[in-house]
Amino acid sequence: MSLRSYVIARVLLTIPMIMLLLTFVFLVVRVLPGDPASLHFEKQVSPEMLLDFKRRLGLDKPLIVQYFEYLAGLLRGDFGKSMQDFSPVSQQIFSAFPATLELAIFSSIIMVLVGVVLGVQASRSYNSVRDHSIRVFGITSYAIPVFFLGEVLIMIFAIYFHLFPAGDRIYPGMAPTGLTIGGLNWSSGLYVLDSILEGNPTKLGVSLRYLFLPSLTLGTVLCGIFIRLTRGNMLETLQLDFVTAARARGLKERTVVYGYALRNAFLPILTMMGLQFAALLAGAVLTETTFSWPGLGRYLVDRISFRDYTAIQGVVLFFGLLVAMVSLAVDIIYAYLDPRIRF
Amino acid sequence: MSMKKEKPQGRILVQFFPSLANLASRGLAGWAILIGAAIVAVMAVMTVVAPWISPYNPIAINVGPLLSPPSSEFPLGTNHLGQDMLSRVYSGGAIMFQVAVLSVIVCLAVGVPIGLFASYVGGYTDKAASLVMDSIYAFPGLVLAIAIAAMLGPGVVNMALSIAVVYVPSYFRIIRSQVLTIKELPYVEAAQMMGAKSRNTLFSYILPNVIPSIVAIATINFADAILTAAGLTFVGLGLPVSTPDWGWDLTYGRRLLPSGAWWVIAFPGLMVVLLALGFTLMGEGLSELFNPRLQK
Amino acid sequence: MQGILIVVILVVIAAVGYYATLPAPGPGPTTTATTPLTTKAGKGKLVIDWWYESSGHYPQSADQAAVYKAQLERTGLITVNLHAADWPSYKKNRDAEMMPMYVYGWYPDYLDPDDYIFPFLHSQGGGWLHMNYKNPAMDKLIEQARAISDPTQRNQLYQQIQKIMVDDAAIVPVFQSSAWAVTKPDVGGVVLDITQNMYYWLITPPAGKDTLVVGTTDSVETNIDVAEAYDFFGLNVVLNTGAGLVYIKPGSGAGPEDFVPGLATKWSASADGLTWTFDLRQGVKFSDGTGFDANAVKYSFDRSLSLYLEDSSQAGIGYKDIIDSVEVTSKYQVVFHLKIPFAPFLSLMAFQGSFIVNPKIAPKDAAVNYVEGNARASNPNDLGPYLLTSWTRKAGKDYEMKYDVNPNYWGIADGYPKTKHIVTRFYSDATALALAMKSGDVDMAFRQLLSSDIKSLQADSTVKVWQGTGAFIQYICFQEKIAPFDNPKLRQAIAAALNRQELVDTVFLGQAVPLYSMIPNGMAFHQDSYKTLGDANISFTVSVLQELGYG
Repeated sequence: MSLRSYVIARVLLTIPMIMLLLTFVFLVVRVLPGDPASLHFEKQVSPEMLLDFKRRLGLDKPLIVQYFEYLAGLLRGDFGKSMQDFSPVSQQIFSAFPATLELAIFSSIIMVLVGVVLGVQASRSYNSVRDHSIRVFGITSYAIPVFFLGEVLIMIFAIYFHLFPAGDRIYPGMAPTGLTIGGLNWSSGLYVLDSILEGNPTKLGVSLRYLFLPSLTLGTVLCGIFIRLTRGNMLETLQLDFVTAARARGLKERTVVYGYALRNAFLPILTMMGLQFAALLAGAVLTETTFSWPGLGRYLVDRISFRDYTAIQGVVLFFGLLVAMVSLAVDIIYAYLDPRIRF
Repeated sequence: MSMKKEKPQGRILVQFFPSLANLASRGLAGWAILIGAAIVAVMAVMTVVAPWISPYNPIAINVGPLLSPPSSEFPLGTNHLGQDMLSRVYSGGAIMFQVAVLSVIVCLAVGVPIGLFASYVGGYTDKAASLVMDSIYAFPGLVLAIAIAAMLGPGVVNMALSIAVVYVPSYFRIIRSQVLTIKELPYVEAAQMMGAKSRNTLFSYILPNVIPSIVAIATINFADAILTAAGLTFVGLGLPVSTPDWGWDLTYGRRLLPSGAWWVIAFPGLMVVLLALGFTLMGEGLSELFNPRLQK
Repeated sequence: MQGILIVVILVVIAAVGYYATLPAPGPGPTTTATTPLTTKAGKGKLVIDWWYESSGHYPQSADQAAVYKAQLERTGLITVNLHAADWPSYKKNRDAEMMPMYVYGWYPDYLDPDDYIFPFLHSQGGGWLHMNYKNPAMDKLIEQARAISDPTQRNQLYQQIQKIMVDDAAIVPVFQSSAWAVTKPDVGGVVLDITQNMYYWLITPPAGKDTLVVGTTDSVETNIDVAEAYDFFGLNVVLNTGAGLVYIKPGSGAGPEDFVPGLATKWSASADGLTWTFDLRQGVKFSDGTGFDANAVKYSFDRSLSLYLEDSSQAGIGYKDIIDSVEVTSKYQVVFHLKIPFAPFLSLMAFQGSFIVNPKIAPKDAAVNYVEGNARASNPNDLGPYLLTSWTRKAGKDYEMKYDVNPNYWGIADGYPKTKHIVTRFYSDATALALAMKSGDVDMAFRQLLSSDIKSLQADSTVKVWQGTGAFIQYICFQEKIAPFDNPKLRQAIAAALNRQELVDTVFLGQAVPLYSMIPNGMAFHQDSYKTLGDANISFTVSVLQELGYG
């Protein structure tokens, strides 16, 4: 099959997956006990008032009608209005997403950096104590509940040593404003990027300080796979002929390792990052709750507590689309490089 | 009458029973399994004998001063309700084990048959099953578990079910890839050509070869189930507070950190890490052993 | 290698064997040895399925449940099975009437004993709790008590009401929480009274600063429109940016003599209680310079009553059942015509639901909601000590609010507000807030902190902890549709087994007060009625239960 038809087939396959996900979420939230209407009333409410309010939320219509109205809205790009505060859900998602994205990016950096460096170290001292301890570390770090690690780090570095903040993303007033040219302002929502664009080193420093502990937590918990992957890959590659040849030609060990062998591991690492993306998002939920990080994960957990149907549907759909896009990208890259994979 | 092939069963027998002791000689993988198994065994025993070795009833309140640090009288301290942390650490794992075991059973009961059937039959059944499983697999697991746990309400069975839903696709994928490989093996084709019925082929040939992978992934599933159970409790979907539960101590212990009471979160947390580690070591060791290049 | 494995297995077997031979531990120090009589063909123990709310809506509800369970099981005749439900499920269960016993909480709308009696013990007023409690004699007494203004007569009525409350034992008050605030040592003027209001304008900032940074875990639930806001925090914003006709004197006990002028300088009621006349303060201006007069008052009330939004305080309290119409009799005089004589009417006017909005910002036909980036358009309250100058939300949650002095405020001549600028920062939970207070990120922390946090802050010399009377109460409800909880004697027995002091000491570290009546401590007509049943009155409980066949 040609690359093009593979891509088309893959994209087409994504659509039923998303539809399945959407329908599933739509039904699941409505099966959750409790409903958003009654949650608006802390105290007394008469049945007529409750019904009126349900009408306001659109919950009095038959399920099928609600479903198709929601779908129609989606096609227009409208994720609906939150049932908790009546604000547009898309606005809230796009407000929360950059926080999660920034967390995911920096966690990935730590995850890959730590994983690759340790993996290389392990492969170079095969079967030594160092190799074994690195492998054990990789396995152990995965076994730690991410929120426990987070709490331990908070306890040590934030509460005891006061080196890093204990939570939140920034304190008000320090939020970077991004690029401002003339009267126009553009900000990505990624504080590190925005503070660079703003040209404000203080804000950059503060942003990084707040980012450090959460990223370290999430990155550490997920780095085990990269340790194993890198180590395995390096072990294989280091035996190969061309490496021996390079060594024979007198190239420095470091060039051999990083220049040749690691480059070989690059593709599997990239695809593994893609595969781990879903795990990253899942881990972000707990990390955000632990560090009071105002991202999508925390938003979702809050909205589940309020049975905010539209918000929950919106976030789940958004997550699903994200994961689908990332795995699509990974699959396409893989198919481009390895024609055997295409069905 | 199907031809009983020694090969598939034999492979397992050789690797399981007589040679547990040989594990250590199989290098790091063997050690990993031994140590992991030992950890799990010790914790299981601890949980079982907890009622006898606990100095206090783990849910009895005010057995000691509120929130007191580890001392000779209360080696692991007391929590905010005056409950003895040592007793809670002894009994808190019971729930973890129950949830993990239950979720693995459900996964096996659901994932294995579907995986075997769909991949063996192939065609549209396989495509449809793969579609559904891929959708679930691609989705951030915890979010799905949260949604299902919220839907079903608190309880051991409900938690196990929500975890099981998240992990069934992993079983499905592993089995499917194994089945697809084994299906092509010459001796299986030969058996079919000689008139062996599908069901027999499935059970006598394919299933035995798939079992090692199932064992490996089930073991890792235990670890994941424990971590997910703790995660669900953390977001408030755990069991009623009348069951001693490490997950609850973790959740509550967090709120006691600003006042300096580190012991409430530290010891149960260590236990969870140890238990998950034990299973993970076993699982990793087993996957290395059975298939050194077993990809996730 | 084989050897090591064998050793490990042997050790494990030995350990199991050793511990298996140990005797099982006896009853712990908290259980009392009671020998139940076995003469009757016993029903066995009374099994109670007790539900508690698990998502943190009420403070430390899981801890409370653990304590209740322990206390009831001390009788030896009760088994308590705990069930957890998150807030939405809990509410659903309440409406489905399937929880035999459940805990609920209440904070007042207006400060009058009626607001603690009518929504609970009156068959219609208490309908929202779904307890299925109905006592026509009680209904009559309550209706009488809310119509009469004479304190002596009301006192007599409330005595009777509270006595029947214990006889029927349909609802059991447990504790009243104290109000807490934590500030930096040089912050002053924090008043924590029974209204639970946070009067920003009385607070003096830290030395050398003119801004006060307040941290909280609350947030605005709907909006800050007088016609819809009904949550604690939203109402507090209304209090500080808006104004009402009268106020309850800060720091007072909210008694009948404690009303002070607000936008009204004089008031009087007709003899039959159906007409209230208010003379208004002159020279007050809205933020855009328009003068305040009686028309604004009429506009505000007409608007709330015609909108009558389902989740508004007006609908919840039932303004329409009380107020018939509002009449402008002169530029600075307004008259309220009531449908029924309502003794707590002044309390109702002091409540934020009766505050006055700016007619130019609050349209007649819609509520004013949060507008991204425009605090002015998000806030129809205009006449108070502060103007809301900034309100930002991130990811759907309140992030920061900024208040500045209102130059048109009538109290400026008297030196109020004491702090020129207030900044409110929102924290996601008590832990985050406690840490922020400890590290000095905020000057003041108000709602909510855990008892353990407050306790450790009390020992911290870098902060000052303020305590005041609380108005938030928690109580236990019985579902009278489920036997045997339809039996008042059984309910009394269960109530008697509770130990309020132990609960307060264990769960709240002494930071709450035991409560023996639905009317809170410190409020008029309060009586410690439930003391007749006693605390931890195990013998009473056991004898009643045995009488009923349990054991």
